[in-house]
Amino acid sequence: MGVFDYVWAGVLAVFLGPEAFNIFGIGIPITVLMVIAGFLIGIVTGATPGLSGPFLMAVSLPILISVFGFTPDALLPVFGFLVGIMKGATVGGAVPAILFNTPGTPDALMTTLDGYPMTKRGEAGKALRVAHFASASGDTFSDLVLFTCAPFLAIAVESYLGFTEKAALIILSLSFVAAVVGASPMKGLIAAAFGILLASIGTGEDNYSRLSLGTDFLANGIPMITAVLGVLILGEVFVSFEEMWREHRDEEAPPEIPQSGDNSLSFAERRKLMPFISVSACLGTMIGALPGIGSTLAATLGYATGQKMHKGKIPFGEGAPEGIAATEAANSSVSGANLIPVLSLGIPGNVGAVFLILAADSIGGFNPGPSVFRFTTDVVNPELVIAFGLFTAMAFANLLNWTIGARFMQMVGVMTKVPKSVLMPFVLLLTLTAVYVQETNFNAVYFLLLFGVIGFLMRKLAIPTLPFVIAFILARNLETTLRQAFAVSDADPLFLFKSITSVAFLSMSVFVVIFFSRSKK
Amino acid sequence: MGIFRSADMITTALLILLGLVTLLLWIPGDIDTGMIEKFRRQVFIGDALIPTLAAGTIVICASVHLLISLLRSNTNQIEEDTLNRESLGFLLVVSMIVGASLVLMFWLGPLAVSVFDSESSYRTMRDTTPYKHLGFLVGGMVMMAGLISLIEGKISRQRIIISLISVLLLIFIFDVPFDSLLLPPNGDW
Repeated sequence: MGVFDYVWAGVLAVFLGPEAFNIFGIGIPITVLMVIAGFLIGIVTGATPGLSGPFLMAVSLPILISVFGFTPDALLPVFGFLVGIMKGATVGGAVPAILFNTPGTPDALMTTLDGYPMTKRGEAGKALRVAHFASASGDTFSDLVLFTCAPFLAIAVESYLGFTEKAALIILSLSFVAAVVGASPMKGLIAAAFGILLASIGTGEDNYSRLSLGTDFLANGIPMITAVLGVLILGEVFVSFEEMWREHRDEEAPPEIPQSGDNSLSFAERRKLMPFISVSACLGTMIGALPGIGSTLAATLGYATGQKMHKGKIPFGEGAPEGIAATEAANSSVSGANLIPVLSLGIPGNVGAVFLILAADSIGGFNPGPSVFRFTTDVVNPELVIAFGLFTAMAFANLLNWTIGARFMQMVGVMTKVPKSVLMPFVLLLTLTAVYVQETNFNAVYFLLLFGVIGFLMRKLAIPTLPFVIAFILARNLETTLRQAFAVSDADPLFLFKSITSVAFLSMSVFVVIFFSRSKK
Repeated sequence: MGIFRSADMITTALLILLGLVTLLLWIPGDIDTGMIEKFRRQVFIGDALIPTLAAGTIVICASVHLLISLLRSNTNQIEEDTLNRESLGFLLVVSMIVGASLVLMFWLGPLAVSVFDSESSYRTMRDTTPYKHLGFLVGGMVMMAGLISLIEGKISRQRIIISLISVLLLIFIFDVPFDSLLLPPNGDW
């Protein structure tokens, strides 16, 4: 099979894959249906303050696996749904930010600065259109970069990097994430090392399950889903419980403001926004391609850059459409680029990518990493077909965003009225149920709650959670790669320092930690 | 010294202790192979290497962080956001509510079977309504209503009804459409 045959096979796998049902004799492919469902539910989730795309991805995973099973046929529908959520939630986050001055997702915080003043002027419709236009443009640009860069990067990694270099690259990625996330690189490194330590419980090559204290409880290791969901979701839920408890009152939804201003967005206005969108999309894509740096930083940088470029009548912060465009293009362009390190290196760079890896890990048959992009000509590489199927699903989700996204996002403002004091306990019970359904063992619930408490404590002590989660996921891969590198080096104790590339990666690991420690003084 | 700073330093000291205990006691006592192993003249990485490196990193980084904290006079952390007695007390109350609801969730179904159908065991009845939903329904409702009441500082009938509807919704999502899915605690019996 040639390159284009693989691309075409991926497209066909989405549009001519297994049918969900027939309408007048025309089969509706299940993957297409799942992308649509994920996208629409994602918008609703993004528009609900307190909920987030990654949370929905996490709790929907057990249901998706129950519906589709553990076969390779399940991969594309599940990925399609998750990708739909990712994209929908990004767009949806702007809705409460604009209408009620409440960001639906953290990266929509900067959108409130100009979005809400526009709403107060009676131009909420225009603000939503600007947000949607910028978000869809940024997202499309980012996806195009992903489609073109990921395969080349993966091929380069596979061609030039051996086991030693791959091990050093994982160390570099972990150091980078640890250094850039949070206030202190040392705390980031502690979190990453803690993740590796806990991930090594109950695993190993010896007959005895290491660090299991001789108990059955730890003998099979810690289920990955409990550690990831506990720290990321329940930790956040517990923190929000405490915040609400301190306030001792329900957050009342702000009143709606009557809209009577100019709510259209003309072609000329869109053209005027393009410079802001372009710059922010490039910034967001570059940030998204680096592991660990989230869309919140992209939004902040995009906004700050847009502010410097802006020479219009209405200044940033007082209801300038350019401010919304700069923010939304930046935070939306992160999502596609975030998948570059996942697909080309097998390293999840953000929370959304973590759940794609979890899905792939749970279902099997697809191991995100450089080996996916092996363009074998004699035998079909099914993983490559899945990868191009994933790209097709992303492109289709973008198409949905351009066509129905704007209309749908104007309908979900009502979600802000859901009281957070009811929503958060529901999130706890839902997460608990989703984990139990997948693991069918109460021990998983105990692990989940334990990691929830760990996540709570980490947040309260300003220890970043993302390095912990990424290290927990990559620990097995790191150990296997180190073992292989050691074996092929004929047991050389300095095996990590025998190649220039490996030494360069390790030096960079040390450099990023020192650099970010110094700059954060 | 601020609350955050003292909490931060105590945690860092505890992390150093955890790292040292792991390095000196847990790893040597609970891993059968060393860091490097020889077997039939082949040398390979043992199971102890990765945990040792991880624990070593914790000790080193926590020590460096402690040193930096001692040298720096202030932090940017908002004091109310940090870990204090009030937070820990709150966490304890949440744990008690969640713990009590989990006990109900786990035992209510088996208890109901033993009272109303003493001929059968819960294992044989775990797929029979109402037993299969009883623990989840009551335990889930207590968890939600308890937490909402704690957060809002009052118990209201409306919130109890919302909790009941939420748990029924979860049963409808997870149990009704799927025969293969087991709600808590049915997989354990």
